[in-house]
Amino acid sequence: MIRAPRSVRRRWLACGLVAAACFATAGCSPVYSPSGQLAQSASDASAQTQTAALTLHLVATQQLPAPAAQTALSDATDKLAQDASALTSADVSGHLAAARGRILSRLRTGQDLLIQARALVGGQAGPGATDAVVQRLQATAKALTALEKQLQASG
Amino acid sequence: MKAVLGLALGVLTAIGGFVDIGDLVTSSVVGSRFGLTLVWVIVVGVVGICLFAQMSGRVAAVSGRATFEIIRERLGARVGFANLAASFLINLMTLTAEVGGIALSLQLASGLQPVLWIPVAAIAVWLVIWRVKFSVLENVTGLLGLALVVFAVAVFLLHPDWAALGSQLALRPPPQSSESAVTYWYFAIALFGSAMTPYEVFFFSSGAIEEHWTPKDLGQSRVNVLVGFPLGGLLSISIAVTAAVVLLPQMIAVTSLSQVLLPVAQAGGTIAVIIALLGFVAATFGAALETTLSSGYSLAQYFGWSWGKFRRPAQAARFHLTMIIGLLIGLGVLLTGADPVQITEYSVVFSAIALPLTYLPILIVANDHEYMGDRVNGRLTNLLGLVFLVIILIASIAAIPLMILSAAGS
Repeated sequence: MIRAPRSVRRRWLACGLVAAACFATAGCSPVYSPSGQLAQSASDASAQTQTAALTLHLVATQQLPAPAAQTALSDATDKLAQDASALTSADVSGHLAAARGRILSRLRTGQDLLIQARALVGGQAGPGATDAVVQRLQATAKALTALEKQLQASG
Repeated sequence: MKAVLGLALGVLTAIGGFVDIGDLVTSSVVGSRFGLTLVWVIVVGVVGICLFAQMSGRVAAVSGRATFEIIRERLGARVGFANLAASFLINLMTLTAEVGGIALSLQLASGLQPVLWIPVAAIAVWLVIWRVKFSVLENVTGLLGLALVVFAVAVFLLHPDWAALGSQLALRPPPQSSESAVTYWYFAIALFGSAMTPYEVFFFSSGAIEEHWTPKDLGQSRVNVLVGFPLGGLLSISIAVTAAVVLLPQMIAVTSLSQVLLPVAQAGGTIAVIIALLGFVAATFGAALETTLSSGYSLAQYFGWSWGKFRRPAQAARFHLTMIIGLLIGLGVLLTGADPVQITEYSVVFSAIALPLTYLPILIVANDHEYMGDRVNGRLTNLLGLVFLVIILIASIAAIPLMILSAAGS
């Protein structure tokens, strides 16, 4: 059997040890814990909902053209759907399952509001409705941020 | 007068051509999550790219040969291949990200899905490379890229709290930012990788051959790099500042190109948005041309094929074929539905990992009297080069562990 030179074997061993150390410490990293992942989803969903609020506000004040606004809202919708999917598939139980339920509920509200926002940008609703949707999007984002902070505090 | 105009054109092109999809996305992500606490990395990255770009330009102008040809000859086929493999793969990722960036920019302008724009963008890149003269494609995209100055104007139109921004520059994190140290350093490496992307150096060096530079042109090349690149870096900083002023207080962490546009809309309304979109298209299109050409340059120079846009396509068939294959690979990846922004985020980090393989050979060649005569690096250049090699090495080693520990910065 042909064997690799000792120096090459040493290099592979060193690379393997570094990789093993990284994966081992990654397990201790808060971003990989169940509560960390829930907090991350809440944070992402809050950012997308707030993006939709800012986009709609800029459309209402005629600062953002419709194609750019539709794209921003479409991007936010896609990211919210990804967050919802990640939350649904998360393996949690007990108080974390309850937290997931609360985040999902707020996230679904955000998704409904985004549908309304896209209709508003498409000109399918009255101008008076815009402010109300912006405020509800902001409130939803705030609630999601509060849930994220709770999860971070509980570790 | 002609010389002054030539100099001005070179500087303006260097400014407008500095920003690409990596800078657009990474600067905005960093501004929206860390405020200005990572701006120092952009400054370090700009100094590094200036140092190595002028070095590789000097090598090309003095020796009359491009970087890859000399690296293989001077350092042997094995080291040359390691350099080629790292640069070529990163370049391919960057090319894919840039073509995706063109499609995303056109989506923002039209509202049409990017999947419709991706083939259009790839064909347009190929047609321009096939038909348009090197100087024309370089100057037109560079000058149109100056539209991104709208971000610098937006900073002033937003009337920011300068004291708060100053405090962030002094590394005091803003109250809204609650990012961990691991995530901070992960993005520091991403930002460094985006500023020092290898293709910029290879394009600069090969461009010197395309434009038949001689040692007489070294002065102009130095001005282009030392004035144009830092001013281009200011555009990257402006993008980060607009995100820090508008998006960070609302806790909007940037995950898409559409969010990069929102601060400009708030600052200058529809007109500013249109100018910024022109800048997005020009920056990504220009970088797509540069990365496509760089894929052809790197392979052709390593294998000793005939290359260059100054030759007719029939005289450099393998060079052109390589570029077509590179574009087709990028097109194929994007049509699978891969997110160009995510590709960009990974490409800048992998770029940081491959940096030592790109920049160490350039430093060695720039010190070789056989190729450079008495125009080898001076002491200061070598000292700076060594300092940067240490930084590059640390960034390269730390990138993967930080990527794992921060879950790719999430």
